Amino acid sequence: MPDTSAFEDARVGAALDLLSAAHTPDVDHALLHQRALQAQGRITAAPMQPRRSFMDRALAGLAIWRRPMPAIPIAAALLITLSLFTSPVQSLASQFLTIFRVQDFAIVSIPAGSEMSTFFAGLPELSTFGDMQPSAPTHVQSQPVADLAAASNAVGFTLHTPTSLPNTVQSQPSTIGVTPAQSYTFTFRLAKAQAYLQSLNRTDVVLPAKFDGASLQFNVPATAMLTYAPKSSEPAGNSASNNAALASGVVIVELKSPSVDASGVSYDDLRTFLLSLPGLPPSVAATLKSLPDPSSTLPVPVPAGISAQKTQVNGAPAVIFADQHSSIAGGILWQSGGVLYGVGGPLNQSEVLAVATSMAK
Amino acid sequence: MLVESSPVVEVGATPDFESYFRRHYVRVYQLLYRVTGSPDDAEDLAQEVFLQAARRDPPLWSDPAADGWLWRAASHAALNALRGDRRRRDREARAYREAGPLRMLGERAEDPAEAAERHAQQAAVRVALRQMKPQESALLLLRHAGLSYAEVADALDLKPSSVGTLILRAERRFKEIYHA
Repeated sequence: MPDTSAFEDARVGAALDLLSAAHTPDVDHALLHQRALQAQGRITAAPMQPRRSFMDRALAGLAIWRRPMPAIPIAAALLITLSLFTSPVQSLASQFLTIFRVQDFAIVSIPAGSEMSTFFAGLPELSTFGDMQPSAPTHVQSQPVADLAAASNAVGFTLHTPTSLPNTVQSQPSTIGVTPAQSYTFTFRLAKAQAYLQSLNRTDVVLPAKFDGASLQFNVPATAMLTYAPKSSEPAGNSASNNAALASGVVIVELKSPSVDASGVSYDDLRTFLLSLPGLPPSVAATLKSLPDPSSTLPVPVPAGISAQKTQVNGAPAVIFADQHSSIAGGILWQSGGVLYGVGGPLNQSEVLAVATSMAK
Repeated sequence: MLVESSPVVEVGATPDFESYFRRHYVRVYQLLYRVTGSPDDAEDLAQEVFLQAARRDPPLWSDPAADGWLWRAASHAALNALRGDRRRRDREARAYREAGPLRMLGERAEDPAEAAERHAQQAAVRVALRQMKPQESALLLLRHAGLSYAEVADALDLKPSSVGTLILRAERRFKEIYHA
């Protein structure tokens, strides 16, 4: 502790005391962050890291919808859901309030030199604080369906298709797939969380007893994926060639907005508690805190090498992406009428917008 | 948000680094908080100091001169932050305004008039530190952070016998500017 006797004139010490923080920094959090930074440096410095293709990276932002929740670190769940829920959107069931539904987007830049996985390295998983149902990772795969009508039926709304496509790709989808709806429930378990925090020596973190048994339900509706293969290639018929089509074809993703429901806990309590936990990088926490309407704003993580900016598709809020390395690959994500749309492919910015605009009509 | 299966490389996770970090982090953070006034900036700068420390060969925590090096790096970071250009200060002010209401969960709400007064006083102290010679502000900041004369001498490459005199001189200079 600095004391004023460090100086001959106590007024000097008193003046400097004015600058001192009223708070003590969270050392556990800082240590986890430091380890993540060191891990990043190590990985960035590793020679000959194969650069991931644009589509891999562009679709990475959507990957969370397809991933089993137990594998997702707490920060990921935080990103979507637990930021600042201020206005419940609607009541889904008697005890469940829908606390999140996508209406707008916020761009979250991942610092240069870090892959997203290392950015979040060292964060505890949500399962550290409670139980996840289903507890085992589920392998959710896109299943081919016969036609657009079948896909529309499966996702619960009429799919939109583009009337404008670059002439390098076929005018009709070469594959139509649907990923089934998924739902994951996280139930907070006080004993589990306490054991974890004690293992970190975090006896200072207050665990409100009312959290015990409180739950969050993450709902990801059925998702349609349309692939428009390049004209020169064979139509993709299985998942292996699907990946090849991803590299050069145009991919369109459509799903009803994912949502999060909560029961037994207030949003403010939850947010305050979760933001107080160690492990959330300060820049991410700051972004989460600054979301204009967290109950409806989907944070879109954008890794280095991809530029992103907010735009509109026929008046609907959108985020447009471009690969800064090739400048010929691009994508867009927008929300309209409760449906989330994504388009990606070997497209420049105006082509991306043209495809999207032709779908929104 | 993306979850990849690539292995997390655990570096700097040895007990040595951890105890070293735990021993010094709070004081380094607090020093950097005094010059930035922003929890986020203070943490970012402190993390950078420890990152540099971790990259040193041999590792800092096994080096007998380690503490001096750490405080030298911390005072460099502090002086750079103090002398940051106008744009940086604007950014800090903006960050403060944006993050202000939420920046420290549990920080008690205070009277806006008192807060404004406090910020004005803090700004005056930082202006004074900025106008002093870098070594003089570093002397005051490190001494205020609780370092002994010997530690201050080690960090700033000074003769231990001269530190007392130099701090006294820095105090006088500070008072001249601060009360001017």
